[in-house]
Amino acid sequence: MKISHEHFRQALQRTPFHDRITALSTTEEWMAWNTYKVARVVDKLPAEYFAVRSGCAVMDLTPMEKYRITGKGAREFLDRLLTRDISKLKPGRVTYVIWCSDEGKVIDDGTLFQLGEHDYRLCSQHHQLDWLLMSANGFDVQIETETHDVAALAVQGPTSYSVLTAAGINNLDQLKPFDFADLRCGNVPVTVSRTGYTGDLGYELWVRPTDALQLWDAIFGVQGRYDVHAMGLSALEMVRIEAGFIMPGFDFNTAEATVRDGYDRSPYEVGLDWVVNLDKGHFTGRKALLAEKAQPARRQLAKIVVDGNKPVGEAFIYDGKNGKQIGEIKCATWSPILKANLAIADIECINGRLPAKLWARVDYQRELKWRTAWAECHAQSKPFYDPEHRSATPPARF
Amino acid sequence: MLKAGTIISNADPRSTFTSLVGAPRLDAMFANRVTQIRGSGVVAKLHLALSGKPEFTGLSDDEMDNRLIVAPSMKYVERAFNHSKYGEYSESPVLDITIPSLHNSTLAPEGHHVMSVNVAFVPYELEGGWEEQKTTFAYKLISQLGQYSPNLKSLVVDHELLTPRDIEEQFHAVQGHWHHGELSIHQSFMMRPLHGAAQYDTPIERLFLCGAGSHPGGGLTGLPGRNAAKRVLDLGGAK
Repeated sequence: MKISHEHFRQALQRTPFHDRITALSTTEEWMAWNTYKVARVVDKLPAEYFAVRSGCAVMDLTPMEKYRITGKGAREFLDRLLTRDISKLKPGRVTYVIWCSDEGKVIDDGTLFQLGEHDYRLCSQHHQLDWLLMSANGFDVQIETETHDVAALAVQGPTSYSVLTAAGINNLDQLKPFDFADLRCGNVPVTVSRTGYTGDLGYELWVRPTDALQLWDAIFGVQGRYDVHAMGLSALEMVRIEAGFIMPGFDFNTAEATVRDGYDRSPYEVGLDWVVNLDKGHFTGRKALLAEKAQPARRQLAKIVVDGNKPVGEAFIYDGKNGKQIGEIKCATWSPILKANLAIADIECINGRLPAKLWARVDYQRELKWRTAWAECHAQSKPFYDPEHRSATPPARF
Repeated sequence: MLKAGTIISNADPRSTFTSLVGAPRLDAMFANRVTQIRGSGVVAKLHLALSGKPEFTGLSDDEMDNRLIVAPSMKYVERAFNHSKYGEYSESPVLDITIPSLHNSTLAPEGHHVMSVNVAFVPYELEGGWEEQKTTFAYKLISQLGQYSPNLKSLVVDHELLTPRDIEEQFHAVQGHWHHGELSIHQSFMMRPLHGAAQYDTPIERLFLCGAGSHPGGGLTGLPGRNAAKRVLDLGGAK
């Protein structure tokens, strides 16, 4: 980990792509992400959103927390850390994972890359080094922070495959979802994974910080042949909700950051039961999760479509119009591609199920005057938006 | 590998969870709490074989079968303790002396006696290591005892000093703590030996604790064992 001793002179660190993004930024809308300065919106939010859905968007992913986990006991360590059965994971593959506290509450989620036989990279939303080191007790494993040593870009959208190919990255055609490969972009070694947080076709590119600008320039060098947009976190928020992806620490409180009793959430409560395998052997939180599974679900982080077109924002959920308050919306967006109000809401269950009727009280403004509207909500079990081209291999050429 | 329907461990909790069960079989935070149990041994044991009955200045023959404590004042105790904080032993430690052969004559040949001394505030980690300094310390202790028992030195046939390090090696109590963990307030009652294992049952199904590390702690009360047995029965008995 190489951080300049002068880093404290800047409130936020700059990523290796910072100069290029600054040059494109017309809004100067910056925000902090894991001690880095990143764009909320680079130019125009609608253009950045539609780049993901109908073209190609590029987002700086460098601030993502990255941990290198190596050693003969790395697999056993991960098996005990993670709720998911990773016995089928092999070099060149990525998998979505979560990990829990002893009490079976979600600490964070992330993606796990198997780089070699005893070599893994874990990417997470929040800083996890303390939990990882604490969990390493008794295992033959080494854990190092790689966050600042690996620069990363998300290249997402239906034309992302064509853009990257035109930029000089070959052999992407056989890369299936959750595959990754060590490739080259001209002289630059680049690891490309077919992963993303947008619910669209897309890739994540991992390079040495010193190679970052060369990679950026190669991708943006295809401008003219393809429409490529730099994208900020606001557009990402829209597309990730459309894809039904949840964000620990924002849509629900994470275990290690929760003070109040009952404010943290188990995987079952946030719809992540599909990454919990209670039969795989011991892992942290298993005993608590076994006990929880024997009980009817108390609450659910549900995907809901809210009727109407009033911007939902933060709102309470009720069991009927003017009924009893039973939940709250955690994140919401207007979906331009689906023409619908989408939200993810934390809702109390009745007898282990979501109530049949769900209503949101939507407070909104008209020329600075607050108004209230009632809107019926409809729970969905599938992602709101899941296009076929997302997982087609090889992807369509443009 | 131990195989049984129910396992009741009177080993030190840190040995039970770390060496016998193993951290990987526990939840991460619990395993971490085990490593945080405070219990670095600070009591050594001196055994003396004596060719006759020692005399203590000012004590009558009848009084000799009591526990004889050398702790003249609070200041003395505090000064004796101070050294242990810096990895040193005190030249004037607190002593807790018994002569068990006065109660049980089979412990020594006729006319002979054994003396057992708990020496307080003897650090587990001694600056410079125990190897080189152990014999010197034992002789210093015998000399100090001589201040209270003038004929003792001439009666010593043999001695054995168990430092916390020896107690760890011989009895596998982590860091040689004779109570299997300090009896401090944050490790007492429902926090003994630690949250998650304070009611004798543990996160490992059918594994119970019954030793000095459990409430109410060490000594020869037998209470941790009695309480553990009761807990095993409450949870359906041994299986």
